[in-house]
Amino acid sequence: MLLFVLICNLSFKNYNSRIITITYNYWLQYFYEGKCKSSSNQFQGDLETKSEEALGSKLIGDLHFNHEGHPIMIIGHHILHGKVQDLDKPLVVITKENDNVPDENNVTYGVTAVIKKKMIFKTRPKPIVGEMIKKL
Amino acid sequence: MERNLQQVNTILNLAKLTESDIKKESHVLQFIPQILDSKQVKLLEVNKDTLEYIKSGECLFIKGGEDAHVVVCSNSKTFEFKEAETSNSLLLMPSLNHGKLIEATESRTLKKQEVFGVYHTYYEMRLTKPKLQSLRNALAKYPYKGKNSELSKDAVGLSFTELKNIIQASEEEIINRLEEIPAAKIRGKWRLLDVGFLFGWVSYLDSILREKQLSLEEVTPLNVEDWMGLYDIADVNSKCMSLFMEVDDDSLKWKSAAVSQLFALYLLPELRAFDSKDFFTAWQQSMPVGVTANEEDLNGVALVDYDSTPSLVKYLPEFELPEDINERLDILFRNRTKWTLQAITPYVQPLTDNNLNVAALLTKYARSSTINGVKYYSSKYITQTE
Repeated sequence: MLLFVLICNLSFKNYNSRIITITYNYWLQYFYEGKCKSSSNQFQGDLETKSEEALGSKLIGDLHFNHEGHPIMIIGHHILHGKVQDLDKPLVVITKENDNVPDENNVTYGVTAVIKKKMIFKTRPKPIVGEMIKKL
Repeated sequence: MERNLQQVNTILNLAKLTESDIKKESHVLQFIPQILDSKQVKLLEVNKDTLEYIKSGECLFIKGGEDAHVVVCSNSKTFEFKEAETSNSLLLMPSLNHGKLIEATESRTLKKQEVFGVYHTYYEMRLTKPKLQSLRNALAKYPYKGKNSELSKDAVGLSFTELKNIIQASEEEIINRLEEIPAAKIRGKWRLLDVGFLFGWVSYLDSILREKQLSLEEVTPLNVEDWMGLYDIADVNSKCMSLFMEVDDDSLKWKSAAVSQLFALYLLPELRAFDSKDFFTAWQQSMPVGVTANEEDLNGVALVDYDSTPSLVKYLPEFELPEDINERLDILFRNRTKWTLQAITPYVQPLTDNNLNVAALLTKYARSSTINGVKYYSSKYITQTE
Protein backbone atom coordinates (compact mmCIF):
# COMPACT_ATOMS: atom_id res chain seq x y z
CA MET A 1 0.00 0.00 0.00
CA LEU A 2 1.30 3.35 -0.94
CA LEU A 3 1.22 6.24 1.40
CA PHE A 4 1.39 9.61 -0.21
CA VAL A 5 2.35 12.68 1.64
CA LEU A 6 1.48 15.91 -0.06
CA ILE A 7 3.31 19.11 0.47
CA CYS A 8 1.71 22.44 -0.18
CA ASN A 9 4.29 24.82 -1.50
CA LEU A 10 2.99 27.59 0.70
CA SER A 11 0.89 27.87 3.77
CA PHE A 12 -2.75 28.58 3.15
CA LYS A 13 -3.23 31.79 1.23
CA ASN A 14 -6.22 33.58 -0.17
CA TYR A 15 -6.50 33.44 -3.90
CA ASN A 16 -9.15 35.56 -5.54
CA SER A 17 -10.40 32.74 -7.66
CA ARG A 18 -13.65 31.11 -6.70
CA ILE A 19 -15.32 27.84 -7.62
CA ILE A 20 -18.99 28.71 -7.93
CA THR A 21 -21.91 26.38 -8.35
CA ILE A 22 -24.47 27.53 -10.83
CA THR A 23 -26.84 24.66 -11.29
CA TYR A 24 -27.42 21.78 -9.03
CA ASN A 25 -28.13 18.10 -9.39
CA TYR A 26 -28.20 15.14 -7.11
CA TRP A 27 -24.60 14.22 -7.78
CA LEU A 28 -23.52 17.57 -6.52
CA GLN A 29 -25.28 16.82 -3.29
CA TYR A 30 -22.75 14.04 -2.65
CA PHE A 31 -19.99 16.44 -3.50
CA TYR A 32 -21.15 19.03 -1.02
CA GLU A 33 -22.01 16.65 1.74
CA GLY A 34 -18.89 14.60 1.31
CA LYS A 35 -19.31 10.95 0.59
CA CYS A 36 -19.89 9.11 3.82
CA LYS A 37 -16.98 6.77 4.16
CA SER A 38 -16.61 4.33 6.96
CA SER A 39 -13.10 5.58 7.08
CA SER A 40 -10.57 3.34 8.64
CA ASN A 41 -7.45 5.16 7.70
CA GLN A 42 -5.00 2.51 6.83
CA PHE A 43 -2.05 3.61 8.86
CA GLN A 44 -0.45 0.47 10.03
CA GLY A 45 0.04 0.09 13.69
CA ASP A 46 -0.79 2.71 16.22
CA LEU A 47 -2.92 4.97 14.14
CA GLU A 48 -5.74 2.70 13.09
CA THR A 49 -8.86 4.56 13.94
CA LYS A 50 -12.51 4.47 13.10
CA SER A 51 -13.30 8.04 12.31
CA GLU A 52 -11.53 11.06 10.95
CA GLU A 53 -12.40 13.21 13.94
CA ALA A 54 -10.35 10.98 16.25
CA LEU A 55 -7.20 11.80 14.29
CA GLY A 56 -7.01 15.30 15.73
CA SER A 57 -3.67 15.98 17.43
CA LYS A 58 -2.56 12.39 16.87
CA LEU A 59 1.09 11.77 16.25
CA ILE A 60 1.72 10.15 12.93
CA GLY A 61 5.39 9.36 12.87
CA ASP A 62 8.87 10.67 12.33
CA LEU A 63 10.18 12.07 9.09
CA HIS A 64 13.87 12.04 8.22
CA PHE A 65 15.88 12.69 5.08
CA ASN A 66 18.91 10.74 3.98
CA HIS A 67 21.90 12.44 2.46
CA GLU A 68 20.55 11.99 -1.06
CA GLY A 69 17.56 14.00 -0.02
CA HIS A 70 15.15 11.06 -0.01
CA PRO A 71 12.59 11.07 2.79
CA ILE A 72 12.31 8.26 5.31
CA MET A 73 9.22 7.90 7.47
CA ILE A 74 8.85 5.80 10.57
CA ILE A 75 5.24 5.11 11.45
CA GLY A 76 4.51 2.63 14.19
CA HIS A 77 6.33 -0.57 13.34
CA HIS A 78 7.07 0.41 9.79
CA ILE A 79 9.82 2.16 8.00
CA LEU A 80 8.85 3.76 4.73
CA HIS A 81 11.29 4.89 2.10
CA GLY A 82 10.15 7.62 -0.21
CA LYS A 83 10.89 10.09 -2.93
CA VAL A 84 10.08 13.71 -3.47
CA GLN A 85 8.33 14.21 -6.79
CA ASP A 86 6.52 16.93 -8.65
CA LEU A 87 2.85 16.23 -9.12
CA ASP A 88 1.96 15.48 -12.75
CA LYS A 89 -0.86 17.94 -12.37
CA PRO A 90 -1.05 20.43 -9.52
CA LEU A 91 -3.71 20.00 -6.87
CA VAL A 92 -5.65 22.95 -5.67
CA VAL A 93 -7.16 23.08 -2.20
CA ILE A 94 -10.66 24.56 -2.22
CA THR A 95 -12.54 25.60 0.89
CA LYS A 96 -16.27 26.01 1.18
CA GLU A 97 -17.53 29.49 1.85
CA ASN A 98 -20.80 30.97 3.06
CA ASP A 99 -21.51 27.98 5.17
CA ASN A 100 -24.56 29.46 6.80
CA VAL A 101 -26.42 29.87 3.55
CA PRO A 102 -28.73 26.87 3.17
CA ASP A 103 -29.29 27.62 -0.51
CA GLU A 104 -27.74 24.66 -2.28
CA ASN A 105 -27.59 26.48 -5.57
CA ASN A 106 -25.22 29.03 -4.20
CA VAL A 107 -22.30 26.98 -2.96
CA THR A 108 -18.98 28.66 -3.48
CA TYR A 109 -15.46 27.44 -2.80
CA GLY A 110 -12.44 29.64 -2.43
CA VAL A 111 -9.07 28.53 -3.66
CA THR A 112 -6.84 28.45 -0.62
CA ALA A 113 -3.66 26.62 -1.57
CA VAL A 114 -1.77 25.04 -4.42
CA ILE A 115 0.10 21.75 -4.14
CA LYS A 116 2.87 21.04 -6.60
CA LYS A 117 4.99 18.41 -4.91
CA LYS A 118 4.45 15.15 -3.16
CA MET A 119 6.47 12.76 -1.12
CA ILE A 120 5.51 9.25 -2.03
CA PHE A 121 6.23 6.30 0.24
CA LYS A 122 5.91 2.58 0.00
CA THR A 123 5.59 0.41 3.05
CA ARG A 124 8.19 -2.07 4.02
CA PRO A 125 7.58 -3.94 7.21
CA LYS A 126 10.27 -3.78 9.81
CA PRO A 127 9.93 -5.51 13.09
CA ILE A 128 10.65 -3.67 16.27
CA VAL A 129 12.40 -6.53 18.00
CA GLY A 130 15.08 -4.74 19.95
CA GLU A 131 12.69 -2.91 22.23
CA MET A 132 10.84 -6.02 23.23
CA ILE A 133 14.05 -7.82 24.08
CA LYS A 134 15.10 -4.86 26.21
CA LYS A 135 11.94 -5.11 28.25
CA LEU A 136 12.48 -8.69 29.20
CA MET B 1 2.53 14.38 24.00
CA GLU B 2 5.66 16.04 22.75
CA ARG B 3 8.27 13.76 21.37
CA ASN B 4 11.85 14.56 22.02
CA LEU B 5 15.10 13.89 20.20
CA GLN B 6 15.99 10.95 22.38
CA GLN B 7 12.76 9.12 21.55
CA VAL B 8 13.19 9.89 17.88
CA ASN B 9 16.78 8.72 17.85
CA THR B 10 15.89 5.52 19.69
CA ILE B 11 13.28 4.56 17.14
CA LEU B 12 15.69 5.50 14.38
CA ASN B 13 18.26 3.09 15.78
CA LEU B 14 15.71 0.33 16.10
CA ALA B 15 15.04 0.83 12.45
CA LYS B 16 18.68 -0.01 11.88
CA LEU B 17 19.63 3.54 11.01
CA THR B 18 22.09 5.84 12.69
CA GLU B 19 22.18 9.59 12.93
CA SER B 20 24.98 9.68 10.43
CA ASP B 21 22.70 8.11 7.82
CA ILE B 22 20.35 11.03 7.87
CA LYS B 23 20.39 14.77 7.64
CA LYS B 24 20.55 16.93 10.72
CA GLU B 25 16.89 17.97 10.75
CA SER B 26 14.14 15.52 11.63
CA HIS B 27 10.44 16.15 11.82
CA VAL B 28 7.66 14.81 13.95
CA LEU B 29 4.44 14.64 11.97
CA GLN B 30 1.31 15.38 13.91
CA PHE B 31 -2.26 16.05 12.94
CA ILE B 32 -3.59 19.45 13.87
CA PRO B 33 -6.20 19.38 16.65
CA GLN B 34 -9.10 19.88 14.25
CA ILE B 35 -8.27 18.13 11.03
CA LEU B 36 -9.76 19.32 7.75
CA ASP B 37 -13.26 18.13 7.07
CA SER B 38 -13.56 16.75 3.56
CA LYS B 39 -17.03 18.27 3.34
CA GLN B 40 -15.52 21.72 3.71
CA VAL B 41 -12.13 21.41 2.11
CA LYS B 42 -11.52 19.48 -1.07
CA LEU B 43 -8.74 18.73 -3.49
CA LEU B 44 -9.08 19.60 -7.16
CA GLU B 45 -6.61 18.43 -9.76
CA VAL B 46 -5.97 21.06 -12.43
CA ASN B 47 -3.73 21.30 -15.44
CA LYS B 48 -1.10 24.00 -15.77
CA ASP B 49 -3.29 26.28 -17.90
CA THR B 50 -6.12 26.08 -15.43
CA LEU B 51 -3.74 26.84 -12.59
CA GLU B 52 -2.59 30.02 -14.34
CA TYR B 53 -6.22 30.88 -14.96
CA ILE B 54 -7.00 30.45 -11.26
CA LYS B 55 -3.95 32.42 -10.17
CA SER B 56 -5.07 35.32 -12.33
CA GLY B 57 -8.19 35.52 -10.19
CA GLU B 58 -10.69 34.07 -12.64
CA CYS B 59 -13.47 31.82 -11.45
CA LEU B 60 -14.58 28.33 -12.33
CA PHE B 61 -18.24 27.42 -12.52
CA ILE B 62 -19.67 24.04 -11.59
CA LYS B 63 -22.81 23.25 -13.53
CA GLY B 64 -24.92 20.23 -12.83
CA GLY B 65 -27.23 18.95 -15.49
CA GLU B 66 -29.21 15.81 -16.02
CA ASP B 67 -28.32 12.67 -14.17
CA ALA B 68 -24.86 12.62 -12.77
CA HIS B 69 -23.40 14.71 -15.53
CA VAL B 70 -21.50 17.62 -14.04
CA VAL B 71 -19.19 20.03 -15.80
CA VAL B 72 -16.92 22.76 -14.58
CA CYS B 73 -16.35 25.75 -16.83
CA SER B 74 -13.79 28.47 -17.13
CA ASN B 75 -14.67 31.52 -19.18
CA SER B 76 -13.86 29.72 -22.40
CA LYS B 77 -13.60 25.98 -21.75
CA THR B 78 -15.70 23.14 -20.47
CA PHE B 79 -14.40 20.21 -18.44
CA GLU B 80 -15.98 17.04 -17.19
CA PHE B 81 -15.98 17.07 -13.42
CA LYS B 82 -15.28 13.72 -11.86
CA GLU B 83 -14.43 12.30 -8.51
CA ALA B 84 -11.33 10.13 -8.27
CA GLU B 85 -10.79 7.70 -5.45
CA THR B 86 -7.41 6.46 -4.42
CA SER B 87 -6.51 3.58 -2.17
CA ASN B 88 -3.59 5.67 -1.02
CA SER B 89 -3.82 8.03 1.90
CA LEU B 90 -3.05 11.57 0.95
CA LEU B 91 -1.69 13.58 3.87
CA LEU B 92 -1.92 17.26 3.42
CA MET B 93 0.76 19.44 4.92
CA PRO B 94 2.57 22.72 4.34
CA SER B 95 6.19 22.80 3.30
CA LEU B 96 8.72 21.66 5.81
CA ASN B 97 10.27 25.00 6.60
CA HIS B 98 7.06 25.94 8.40
CA GLY B 99 7.73 23.46 11.16
CA LYS B 100 8.00 24.54 14.77
CA LEU B 101 11.23 23.82 16.59
CA ILE B 102 10.94 21.29 19.38
CA GLU B 103 14.51 20.65 20.34
CA ALA B 104 17.98 21.35 19.00
CA THR B 105 21.38 20.02 19.87
CA GLU B 106 24.73 20.62 18.29
CA SER B 107 24.25 17.83 15.82
CA ARG B 108 20.51 17.38 15.54
CA THR B 109 17.32 19.40 15.25
CA LEU B 110 13.79 18.24 15.84
CA LYS B 111 10.80 20.09 14.44
CA LYS B 112 7.09 19.57 14.68
CA GLN B 113 5.37 19.37 11.32
CA GLU B 114 1.62 19.89 11.24
CA VAL B 115 -0.50 17.68 9.03
CA PHE B 116 -3.81 19.28 8.13
CA GLY B 117 -5.74 16.22 7.17
CA VAL B 118 -5.98 13.01 5.20
CA TYR B 119 -7.75 12.46 1.89
CA HIS B 120 -8.78 9.50 -0.21
CA THR B 121 -10.60 11.38 -2.93
CA TYR B 122 -9.87 14.30 -5.15
CA TYR B 123 -11.62 15.82 -8.14
CA GLU B 124 -10.49 15.72 -11.72
CA MET B 125 -11.20 18.00 -14.63
CA ARG B 126 -11.12 16.59 -18.12
CA LEU B 127 -11.36 18.94 -21.08
CA THR B 128 -14.43 18.17 -23.11
CA LYS B 129 -16.59 19.48 -25.89
CA PRO B 130 -19.80 20.79 -24.38
CA LYS B 131 -23.11 19.40 -25.54
CA LEU B 132 -24.63 22.52 -26.98
CA GLN B 133 -27.73 21.10 -28.58
CA SER B 134 -29.51 21.98 -25.37
CA LEU B 135 -28.92 25.61 -26.32
CA ARG B 136 -30.82 25.34 -29.57
CA ASN B 137 -33.52 23.28 -27.90
CA ALA B 138 -33.95 25.83 -25.13
CA LEU B 139 -34.27 28.71 -27.58
CA ALA B 140 -36.61 26.76 -29.86
CA LYS B 141 -39.22 27.05 -27.14
CA TYR B 142 -39.41 30.74 -27.98
CA PRO B 143 -39.60 30.92 -31.78
CA TYR B 144 -39.63 34.32 -33.39
CA LYS B 145 -41.97 34.57 -36.34
CA GLY B 146 -41.69 38.24 -37.14
CA LYS B 147 -42.46 41.50 -35.45
CA ASN B 148 -46.06 41.34 -36.53
CA SER B 149 -46.55 37.85 -35.17
CA GLU B 150 -45.60 38.62 -31.62
CA LEU B 151 -48.29 37.39 -29.28
CA SER B 152 -47.28 39.19 -26.15
CA LYS B 153 -46.19 42.69 -25.31
CA ASP B 154 -43.67 41.33 -22.83
CA ALA B 155 -40.35 40.07 -24.01
CA VAL B 156 -40.22 36.28 -24.14
CA GLY B 157 -37.13 34.10 -24.39
CA LEU B 158 -34.07 33.55 -22.27
CA SER B 159 -31.63 36.15 -21.06
CA PHE B 160 -27.94 35.49 -21.47
CA THR B 161 -27.61 34.98 -17.73
CA GLU B 162 -30.33 32.37 -17.82
CA LEU B 163 -28.55 30.66 -20.68
CA LYS B 164 -25.31 30.59 -18.72
CA ASN B 165 -27.16 28.98 -15.85
CA ILE B 166 -28.86 26.20 -17.74
CA ILE B 167 -26.40 25.36 -20.51
CA GLN B 168 -23.47 23.19 -19.44
CA ALA B 169 -20.86 25.15 -21.34
CA SER B 170 -18.55 28.12 -20.88
CA GLU B 171 -19.62 31.64 -21.67
CA GLU B 172 -17.40 31.85 -24.73
CA GLU B 173 -18.63 28.54 -26.10
CA ILE B 174 -22.23 29.66 -25.66
CA ILE B 175 -21.57 32.96 -27.41
CA ASN B 176 -19.90 31.20 -30.34
CA ARG B 177 -22.79 28.81 -30.74
CA LEU B 178 -25.32 31.66 -30.60
CA GLU B 179 -23.56 33.19 -33.57
CA GLU B 180 -23.70 29.97 -35.57
CA ILE B 181 -27.35 29.11 -35.07
CA PRO B 182 -30.29 31.25 -36.20
CA ALA B 183 -30.65 32.83 -32.77
CA ALA B 184 -31.28 36.49 -32.13
CA LYS B 185 -31.66 38.73 -29.12
CA ILE B 186 -35.00 40.45 -29.21
CA ARG B 187 -35.86 42.95 -26.51
CA GLY B 188 -33.05 41.59 -24.37
CA LYS B 189 -33.99 37.94 -24.63
CA TRP B 190 -32.59 35.24 -26.83
CA ARG B 191 -34.87 33.30 -29.17
CA LEU B 192 -34.65 31.06 -32.19
CA LEU B 193 -35.68 32.54 -35.53
CA ASP B 194 -38.43 30.42 -37.01
CA VAL B 195 -37.66 28.64 -40.30
CA GLY B 196 -40.82 29.99 -41.90
CA PHE B 197 -39.86 33.49 -40.88
CA LEU B 198 -36.36 33.11 -42.34
CA PHE B 199 -37.79 31.73 -45.58
CA GLY B 200 -40.08 34.74 -45.76
CA TRP B 201 -37.22 37.12 -45.09
CA VAL B 202 -35.04 35.78 -47.89
CA SER B 203 -37.97 35.53 -50.29
CA TYR B 204 -39.04 39.08 -49.55
CA LEU B 205 -35.58 40.42 -50.28
CA ASP B 206 -35.43 38.32 -53.42
CA SER B 207 -38.76 39.74 -54.59
CA ILE B 208 -37.50 43.30 -54.11
CA LEU B 209 -34.39 42.50 -56.12
CA ARG B 210 -36.44 40.93 -58.91
CA GLU B 211 -38.69 43.98 -59.00
CA LYS B 212 -35.75 46.31 -59.29
CA GLN B 213 -34.07 43.90 -61.70
CA LEU B 214 -30.96 43.90 -59.59
CA SER B 215 -28.78 41.06 -58.36
CA LEU B 216 -27.57 40.95 -54.80
CA GLU B 217 -24.02 41.71 -55.98
CA GLU B 218 -25.23 45.03 -57.30
CA VAL B 219 -26.53 46.34 -53.99
CA THR B 220 -24.89 47.36 -50.74
CA PRO B 221 -25.48 46.27 -47.14
CA LEU B 222 -27.01 49.66 -46.48
CA ASN B 223 -29.58 49.09 -49.24
CA VAL B 224 -30.55 45.80 -47.68
CA GLU B 225 -30.83 47.31 -44.21
CA ASP B 226 -33.07 50.06 -45.56
CA TRP B 227 -35.37 47.77 -47.51
CA MET B 228 -35.63 45.15 -44.78
CA GLY B 229 -36.15 47.83 -42.15
CA LEU B 230 -39.78 47.72 -43.17
CA TYR B 231 -39.91 43.95 -42.84
CA ASP B 232 -38.51 43.52 -39.36
CA ILE B 233 -36.33 45.02 -36.62
CA ALA B 234 -32.69 45.92 -37.17
CA ASP B 235 -31.13 43.22 -34.94
CA VAL B 236 -33.10 40.51 -36.67
CA ASN B 237 -32.24 41.82 -40.11
CA SER B 238 -28.54 41.95 -39.37
CA LYS B 239 -28.64 38.38 -38.03
CA CYS B 240 -30.35 37.22 -41.22
CA MET B 241 -27.74 38.98 -43.29
CA SER B 242 -24.96 37.24 -41.39
CA LEU B 243 -26.68 33.87 -41.82
CA PHE B 244 -27.37 34.06 -45.54
CA MET B 245 -24.94 36.53 -47.06
CA GLU B 246 -21.24 37.02 -47.37
CA VAL B 247 -20.40 40.62 -46.70
CA ASP B 248 -17.10 41.75 -48.13
CA ASP B 249 -16.52 45.48 -47.58
CA ASP B 250 -19.53 46.85 -49.33
CA SER B 251 -20.33 43.94 -51.60
CA LEU B 252 -22.81 41.17 -50.96
CA LYS B 253 -23.19 37.62 -52.12
CA TRP B 254 -25.68 34.93 -51.19
CA LYS B 255 -24.31 32.05 -49.11
CA SER B 256 -25.51 29.44 -51.53
CA ALA B 257 -25.36 26.44 -49.22
CA ALA B 258 -27.03 28.25 -46.32
CA VAL B 259 -29.89 29.48 -48.49
CA SER B 260 -30.39 26.09 -50.13
CA GLN B 261 -30.48 24.40 -46.75
CA LEU B 262 -32.92 26.95 -45.39
CA PHE B 263 -35.30 26.35 -48.29
CA ALA B 264 -35.01 22.58 -47.90
CA LEU B 265 -35.74 22.91 -44.17
CA TYR B 266 -38.80 24.96 -45.06
CA LEU B 267 -40.17 22.72 -47.79
CA LEU B 268 -39.57 19.30 -46.31
CA PRO B 269 -41.16 19.03 -42.89
CA GLU B 270 -44.71 19.24 -44.18
CA LEU B 271 -44.37 15.92 -45.89
CA ARG B 272 -41.60 14.06 -44.12
CA ALA B 273 -40.70 12.17 -47.27
CA PHE B 274 -40.97 13.97 -50.54
CA ASP B 275 -41.03 12.45 -53.97
CA SER B 276 -37.55 13.49 -54.97
CA LYS B 277 -38.44 14.69 -58.47
CA ASP B 278 -41.15 16.97 -57.10
CA PHE B 279 -38.88 18.13 -54.35
CA PHE B 280 -35.95 19.05 -56.58
CA THR B 281 -38.24 20.96 -58.90
CA ALA B 282 -39.93 22.92 -56.13
CA TRP B 283 -36.64 23.47 -54.41
CA GLN B 284 -34.86 24.96 -57.39
CA GLN B 285 -37.82 27.05 -58.43
CA SER B 286 -38.08 28.70 -55.05
CA MET B 287 -34.42 29.73 -54.97
CA PRO B 288 -33.58 33.42 -55.03
CA VAL B 289 -32.02 34.77 -58.19
CA GLY B 290 -28.39 33.86 -58.32
CA VAL B 291 -28.56 30.80 -56.06
CA THR B 292 -28.35 27.31 -57.46
CA ALA B 293 -29.52 24.39 -55.39
CA ASN B 294 -27.11 21.48 -55.27
CA GLU B 295 -27.94 18.06 -53.97
CA GLU B 296 -24.81 18.30 -51.82
CA ASP B 297 -26.41 21.13 -49.89
CA LEU B 298 -28.86 18.60 -48.50
CA ASN B 299 -26.04 16.99 -46.53
CA GLY B 300 -26.92 17.35 -42.89
CA VAL B 301 -30.52 18.34 -43.70
CA ALA B 302 -32.13 15.56 -45.70
CA LEU B 303 -31.48 12.16 -47.21
CA VAL B 304 -32.12 11.22 -50.78
CA ASP B 305 -33.16 7.60 -50.95
CA TYR B 306 -32.67 6.26 -54.44
CA ASP B 307 -33.41 2.67 -53.46
CA SER B 308 -37.12 3.21 -53.06
CA THR B 309 -39.55 3.71 -55.94
CA PRO B 310 -40.21 6.52 -56.47
CA SER B 311 -37.01 7.87 -54.92
CA LEU B 312 -37.68 9.94 -51.84
CA VAL B 313 -36.20 12.85 -50.01
CA LYS B 314 -36.40 12.40 -46.24
CA TYR B 315 -36.25 15.22 -43.75
CA LEU B 316 -33.35 14.53 -41.37
CA PRO B 317 -31.75 17.65 -39.94
CA GLU B 318 -28.56 17.23 -37.93
CA PHE B 319 -29.74 19.43 -35.10
CA GLU B 320 -32.64 17.12 -34.31
CA LEU B 321 -30.45 14.09 -33.74
CA PRO B 322 -29.26 12.94 -30.32
CA GLU B 323 -25.83 14.07 -29.18
CA ASP B 324 -24.72 10.61 -28.05
CA ILE B 325 -22.68 9.00 -30.81
CA ASN B 326 -24.26 5.57 -30.56
CA GLU B 327 -27.80 6.92 -30.50
CA ARG B 328 -27.10 9.17 -33.42
CA LEU B 329 -25.47 6.47 -35.55
CA ASP B 330 -28.36 4.16 -34.76
CA ILE B 331 -30.84 6.62 -36.27
CA LEU B 332 -28.59 7.34 -39.23
CA PHE B 333 -28.15 3.68 -40.10
CA ARG B 334 -31.84 2.98 -39.74
CA ASN B 335 -32.51 5.68 -42.30
CA ARG B 336 -29.86 4.49 -44.68
CA THR B 337 -27.84 1.33 -44.28
CA LYS B 338 -24.69 2.41 -46.07
CA TRP B 339 -23.17 5.87 -46.05
CA THR B 340 -20.28 7.44 -47.86
CA LEU B 341 -17.92 9.55 -45.80
CA GLN B 342 -19.07 12.69 -47.56
CA ALA B 343 -22.73 12.10 -46.81
CA ILE B 344 -22.27 11.11 -43.16
CA THR B 345 -19.70 13.76 -42.22
CA PRO B 346 -22.14 16.64 -41.57
CA TYR B 347 -24.01 14.39 -39.13
CA VAL B 348 -20.90 13.17 -37.32
CA GLN B 349 -18.76 16.31 -37.42
CA PRO B 350 -20.54 18.04 -34.50
CA LEU B 351 -19.68 15.12 -32.23
CA THR B 352 -15.94 15.24 -32.82
CA ASP B 353 -13.52 16.61 -30.28
CA ASN B 354 -9.78 17.08 -29.88
CA ASN B 355 -9.13 13.39 -29.71
CA LEU B 356 -11.38 11.92 -32.35
CA ASN B 357 -12.10 13.28 -35.80
CA VAL B 358 -14.87 12.00 -38.10
CA ALA B 359 -12.85 9.12 -39.53
CA ALA B 360 -11.67 8.05 -36.09
CA LEU B 361 -15.19 8.18 -34.64
CA LEU B 362 -16.52 6.08 -37.49
CA THR B 363 -13.72 3.56 -37.16
CA LYS B 364 -14.57 3.22 -33.50
CA TYR B 365 -18.36 3.15 -33.61
CA ALA B 366 -19.25 1.87 -37.06
CA ARG B 367 -18.23 -0.76 -39.53
CA SER B 368 -16.71 0.02 -42.91
CA SER B 369 -16.75 -1.88 -46.18
CA THR B 370 -15.57 -1.19 -49.70
CA ILE B 371 -17.81 -1.76 -52.71
CA ASN B 372 -16.55 -1.07 -56.22
CA GLY B 373 -13.69 0.90 -54.79
CA VAL B 374 -15.93 3.15 -52.70
CA LYS B 375 -15.77 3.09 -48.92
CA TYR B 376 -19.07 2.85 -47.08
CA TYR B 377 -19.92 2.98 -43.40
CA SER B 378 -22.63 0.89 -41.85
CA SER B 379 -23.84 -0.15 -38.45
CA LYS B 380 -21.66 -2.24 -36.21
CA TYR B 381 -24.69 -3.93 -34.73
CA ILE B 382 -27.43 -4.33 -37.31
CA THR B 383 -26.46 -7.11 -39.68
CA GLN B 384 -27.47 -6.62 -43.28
CA THR B 385 -28.15 -9.40 -45.70
CA GLU B 386 -27.26 -8.21 -49.14
